[in-house]
Amino acid sequence: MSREQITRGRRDFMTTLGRGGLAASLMGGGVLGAWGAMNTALGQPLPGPLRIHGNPVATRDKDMKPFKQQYDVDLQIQLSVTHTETVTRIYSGATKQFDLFTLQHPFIKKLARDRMILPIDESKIANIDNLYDHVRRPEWAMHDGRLYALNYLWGYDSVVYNEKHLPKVDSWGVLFEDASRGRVAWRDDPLQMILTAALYMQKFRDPNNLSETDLAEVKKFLIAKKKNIRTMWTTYAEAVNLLRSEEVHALWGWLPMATSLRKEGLRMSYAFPKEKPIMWFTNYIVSKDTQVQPTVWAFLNYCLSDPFTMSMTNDFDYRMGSSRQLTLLPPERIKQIGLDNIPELVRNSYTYLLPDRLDKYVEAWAEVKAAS
Amino acid sequence: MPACLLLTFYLVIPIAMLIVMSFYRSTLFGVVPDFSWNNYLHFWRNPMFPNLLLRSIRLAVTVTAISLLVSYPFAYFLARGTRRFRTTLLILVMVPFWTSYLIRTMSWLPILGIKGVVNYSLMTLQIVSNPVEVFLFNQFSVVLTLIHIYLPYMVVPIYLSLDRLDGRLLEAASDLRTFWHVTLPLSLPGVVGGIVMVFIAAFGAYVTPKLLGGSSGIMFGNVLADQYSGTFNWPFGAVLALIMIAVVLGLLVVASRFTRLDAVFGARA
Amino acid sequence: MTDGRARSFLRIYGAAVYVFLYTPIVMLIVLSFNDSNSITLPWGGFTWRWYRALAENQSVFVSLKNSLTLGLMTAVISTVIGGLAAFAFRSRFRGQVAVMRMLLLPFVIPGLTIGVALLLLFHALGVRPGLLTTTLVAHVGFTLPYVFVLISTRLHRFDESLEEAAMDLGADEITTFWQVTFPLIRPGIVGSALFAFTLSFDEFIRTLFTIGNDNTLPIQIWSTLGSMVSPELNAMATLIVAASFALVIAGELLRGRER
Repeated sequence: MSREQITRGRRDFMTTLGRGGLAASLMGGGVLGAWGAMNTALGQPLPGPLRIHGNPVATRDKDMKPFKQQYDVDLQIQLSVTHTETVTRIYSGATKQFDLFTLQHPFIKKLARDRMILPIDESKIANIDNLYDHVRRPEWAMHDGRLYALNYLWGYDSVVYNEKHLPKVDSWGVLFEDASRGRVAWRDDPLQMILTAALYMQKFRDPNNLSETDLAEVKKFLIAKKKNIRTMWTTYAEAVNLLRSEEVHALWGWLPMATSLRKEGLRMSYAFPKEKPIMWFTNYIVSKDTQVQPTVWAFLNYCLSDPFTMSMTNDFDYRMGSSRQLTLLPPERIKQIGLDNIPELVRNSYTYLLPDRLDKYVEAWAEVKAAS
Repeated sequence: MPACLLLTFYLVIPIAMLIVMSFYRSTLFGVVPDFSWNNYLHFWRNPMFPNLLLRSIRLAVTVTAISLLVSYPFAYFLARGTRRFRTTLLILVMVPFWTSYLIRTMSWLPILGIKGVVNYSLMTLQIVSNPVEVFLFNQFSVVLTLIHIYLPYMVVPIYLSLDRLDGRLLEAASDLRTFWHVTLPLSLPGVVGGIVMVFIAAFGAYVTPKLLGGSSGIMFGNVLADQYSGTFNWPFGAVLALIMIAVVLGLLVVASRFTRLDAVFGARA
Repeated sequence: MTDGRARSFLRIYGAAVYVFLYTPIVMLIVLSFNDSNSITLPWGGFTWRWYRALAENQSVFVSLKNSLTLGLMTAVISTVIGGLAAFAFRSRFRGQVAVMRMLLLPFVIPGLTIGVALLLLFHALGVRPGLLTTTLVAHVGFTLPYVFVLISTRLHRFDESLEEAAMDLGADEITTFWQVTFPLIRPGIVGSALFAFTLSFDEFIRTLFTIGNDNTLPIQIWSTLGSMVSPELNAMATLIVAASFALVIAGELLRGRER
């Protein structure tokens, strides 16, 4: 064994010991207490800095500090804006600039095939079996029998609506029907909105891959229903503002929007459309040119750890990668977040993928927007 | 001449970029560099593209015209101020644009929205009994915001060309004849500069229409942006970009027939 | 129209335009004190909590520092190059019109296209993207035509007789420049530099594709508001406005003392 391997082996051993200490201390103290125990159990520095191209929600200072302190390693976090931008940059040399990227599930396979990312070294991530079953080895992350993405966040998109103004919503229809005239908003995103309309129309075999004629039909539908919307939102903050100011009463949106508005006392609800909500998975992928692999595995491990998981759950109501949520949350919270029957949830949701002719979707959407 | 050397060095950048673009220009689908005119044909096959092009030109003309009318008197006001305060006043024009674009743009919702300040005032003054939706998420809010954002683009060049003039000339503003025959022509370089800058900016604008345009908030710039940020169709994006460039250059050529643009930018007659 | 009336008309008009300019700014300042998770009305009560949250948010200040550094460097470099170019254009030289068209080209190329094109170019050249390398190039590139136009309008039909007179009296080129030419064009230089800084400070799309590992303020804001609401960003914007006003006032006071 080389000296490096010995050192790494020792580090792994210490890490495991430390985790044992963490597990023990979790019985007692809260989040900070656990980390206090961590600090004394370990103290082994890792190679750094760790450069992450990440999502602002998952890389908040308060969540990153414990990791930095524990391993005494520097984190350089750049914030990503869109997935296409991330992929564009990966193919243009960003693998040399970053160790980890955040990316949603549809893009993973191609990157794995093109060898831009490394497979996840499952042996180095002690918490890996914390992952929920349906994200442990999902189809979209597998290539040549190896796992290429580590999920840390998943969920579904549906309708966020204000119970003060609307009765219970259980269908995508509220976004399209004439009855909603002027009081709903769409998201300005070609793939998601076309998919939503296709799901609502319930007549297409494969909404993720519409044929040209089918796409034309969906396009016509959207153009016809456009008159019922007040506007379209591009950023999360806009959507929340629209609901808060009651400019609209319902919109295509994400669970955390409802959560943050509920915290202010509004009666916001999150629908489960019978035509199927749209499921997504946000993951970390490892750059092929990373020089700090031990730190990468430690960080990924941290993302599946209890302190990180609970911090995100408490602040956002997110469904995290770690199934420890089911153990650590009280039953009412489990039900509120929608984790009480995960197989059924997955079965009744529609995981979106990239269509073969994405450019056709983009163009159709532009036509929807351009129509008067 | 040191300037020439610097210029030659700097020219590498636009030329290199054009080369990169034309290399990809006529490929079939992003990864395959193959020569084909498909992408150009595609532009004409779908009437939406030429329509959006015209729409964007119309929008740019509207924004530029209103901006000119609004900015000229303002630049005049700035140029007339006591020398001491001029820089300060100019900086105060810029300060709003040191706040982030996105935050500024989102601030229009509580102003123009149905529960916003404008509607609130209208209802309190009993001018209307129900909130009016017409202030936001349509062409009006897009034009208003574009004028707001590009105000410095028109004000600063006009101010710079007025500021150069003799103070007494500016004082004589009340004499309309002096103004029309002397002051205005002397400030023409600034006016032309401002028109060019605002037009090009407004023509290519796509974020503002997207955020404030409501259900039809799309301009030519959006379809261009879509090719890079919605999908990976860079070759078609390059085509659209080249078309935009061609339109603007074409308009500049036409304009220079009428106004001797080249003279404006210093080339000796 | 009498001169007095023209004067007051202009003053009122000027004030009205300032009001228009500052309307969204006043709103965002007000909202930074709003006790609400969203950055909009209705008013939820007065609070300092967003300023407290901002104080704990280290990464925003790093981004601010990056944006300031980038903006200042862009302003300086762009003004120098653009100014020299504008000067070069005062006398004829071969290919002048062509060079001018080249110089104005970046105006016309949409930001997104340039961003991606530069990304590919740097990748092909093997240049590692970085805040003060590639991003600076992109920023100088796109602010240069603006600076050139602004300084050119200032130089238009510039009266060279003053310069000639100075040189006849024995001053060399450099002295002539500093004592005669420069003061006359100084507002143009200052205005252009301010403009270049403003353009760079708020630039998002070109930065996104040419930057290395860092964040600038626009990137941070776009990314954050794309995933969560963050009224502390309004607090940040308010502080920027306040700091700018403070600088302006300080500048005024200093200048007053000079007299």
